[in-house]
Amino acid sequence: MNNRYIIEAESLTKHYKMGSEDISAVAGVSVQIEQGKFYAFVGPSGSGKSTLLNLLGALDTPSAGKLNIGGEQVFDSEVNGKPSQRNLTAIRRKYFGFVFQNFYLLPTLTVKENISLPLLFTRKKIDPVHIDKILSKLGLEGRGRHLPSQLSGGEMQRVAIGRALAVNPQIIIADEPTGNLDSKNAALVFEVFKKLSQEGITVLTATHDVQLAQNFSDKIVRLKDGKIVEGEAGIC
Amino acid sequence: MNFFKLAFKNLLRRKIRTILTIQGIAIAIFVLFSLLSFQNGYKNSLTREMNDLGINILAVPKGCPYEAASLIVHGGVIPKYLDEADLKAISGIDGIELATPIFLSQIYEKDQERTSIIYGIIPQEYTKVKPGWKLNGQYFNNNDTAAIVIGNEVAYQEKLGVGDEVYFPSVGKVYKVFGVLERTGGQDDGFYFLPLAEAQRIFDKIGKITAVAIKIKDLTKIGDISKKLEEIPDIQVVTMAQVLGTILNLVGSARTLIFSVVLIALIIGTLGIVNTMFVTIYERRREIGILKAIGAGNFDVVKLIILETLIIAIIGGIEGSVLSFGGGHLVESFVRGVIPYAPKRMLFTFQFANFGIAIAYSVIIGVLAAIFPSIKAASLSPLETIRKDE
Repeated sequence: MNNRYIIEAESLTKHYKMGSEDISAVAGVSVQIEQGKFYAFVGPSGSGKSTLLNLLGALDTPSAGKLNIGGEQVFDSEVNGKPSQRNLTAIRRKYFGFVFQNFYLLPTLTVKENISLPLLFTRKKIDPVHIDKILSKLGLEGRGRHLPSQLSGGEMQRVAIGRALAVNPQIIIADEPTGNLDSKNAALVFEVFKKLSQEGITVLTATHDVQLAQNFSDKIVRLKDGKIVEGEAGIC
Repeated sequence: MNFFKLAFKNLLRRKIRTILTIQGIAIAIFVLFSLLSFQNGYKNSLTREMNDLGINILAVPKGCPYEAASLIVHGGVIPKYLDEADLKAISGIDGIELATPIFLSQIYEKDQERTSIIYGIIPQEYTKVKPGWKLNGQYFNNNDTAAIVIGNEVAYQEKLGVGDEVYFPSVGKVYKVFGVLERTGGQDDGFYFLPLAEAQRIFDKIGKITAVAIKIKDLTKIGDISKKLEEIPDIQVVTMAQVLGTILNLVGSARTLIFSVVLIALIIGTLGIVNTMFVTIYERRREIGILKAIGAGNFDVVKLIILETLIIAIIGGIEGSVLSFGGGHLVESFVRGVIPYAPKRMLFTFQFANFGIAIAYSVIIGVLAAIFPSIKAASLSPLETIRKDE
């Protein structure tokens, strides 16, 4: 394990059964994620971006391969079986914040309540100053008492990023975070990710928007048919 | 932000469904609470009414003695009679302090569609078995032929007072009201009391007696005296303790039936919550997955679902109990119509212990209803939330 890398994956594989057909969503991917960098995973639909992010984010278990997160061995198909859901939950709580394409804010909770929600599950005391700082960082001052229905799409996604930041994660996983946003708001979201990576948070995002990825991310990972495309078009 | 607040706000998202589910529980708890209140109130009322009766034993004609005794207490008519010889035989038994004859019948006024219950008594004797009676006016003598004493309810309904006249067209008689009983809270409030001889005469039953009310000197001898009474031909003996027991048994059967209905209502209410929670969880599987993705463990999800269910059940429990306080008299009037014998006093006694039982039931229902939905919710994978087209 190299301290430079917060995530290390080796020959990571994920198979699905679809009827009698065996689908390889991720086919032996090896990747090393540097701490504090902004990674954009790009590729066409079905290329395995989201599945790979789910595996790297301990949301899903691989079919084979090795996965280390923060120096902890999460999965090694040669040594042990699948990790338990409890272990995966513990890993997620310890390292990750998640941002989704559809925001998934709870509609009856205010912006502040949505942001502080993960703290409820980590049994950490909710510090109002911490929540205010997050709001300020995301340009959401004055929106703390608003409900999600009173916000624009861009604002909702920033609240979702705030929710991911509430537990001070080392890594943020954002799967198609700009999929429901216009180009202006999409750029704003990527700008936030860029800033967060500069503060030392590792950001992994899947996107269709190559231009956006090129403009803001530190590294682009191209995927096709469940594999990282090597060479000039691969990690760059 | 805490789990309770989160659970409460989640329920507000589906207001109508939440309200309907709460109503299901509220109705079940309303019936349960009412039944518990009835159980306490009915027995107390009946016991007090029997005690107020002041009679230890009723001697009635052979037949169904308990039914006869109930009818006498209630004011019904028994088509069988004892005679003066029976009374003399009863009075001759040792240990009897008083044996006073009662003649009971009804006058039906067809034109007015009114039934008047006539109680023929010897007031100087009968008042000894009714020590609680208070009279405005005076009692008649047994030789009077135009005097009457009326119950308080009769006076109120017919707007009669001391000195007024009561006319019974079907027997062609007018009686002057000598006295009006103060409210007893029992069946006596609804009776017309005539001198025994006059009552026997207008119904053409000279020398006939419906029952003999017996007061004994020593209550511990009630068994021996009952045995001696039963040796008299044509007589059957009913102790008031037996009447009380018989009525309570009859009501107990009705109560068992009602408890069964309540049980069914509670099961339906519980299944209603289970169904609601399953539907809610199905609709919210993505949200639950998201909660798990952002750090919620299985226990957190179980806790959240149980809290939501408990909130529904407890609100339903409180609403049902409050409804019982407010609507208990409606249920009471319904119950009066269906049970075999209803004392005039309050049938429903509301006790805070019953409130505790109703809430405890609600909590049990809530926990039971939450078990399967919460396990189902906890088993959802966070991946459910983010599976989308690639």
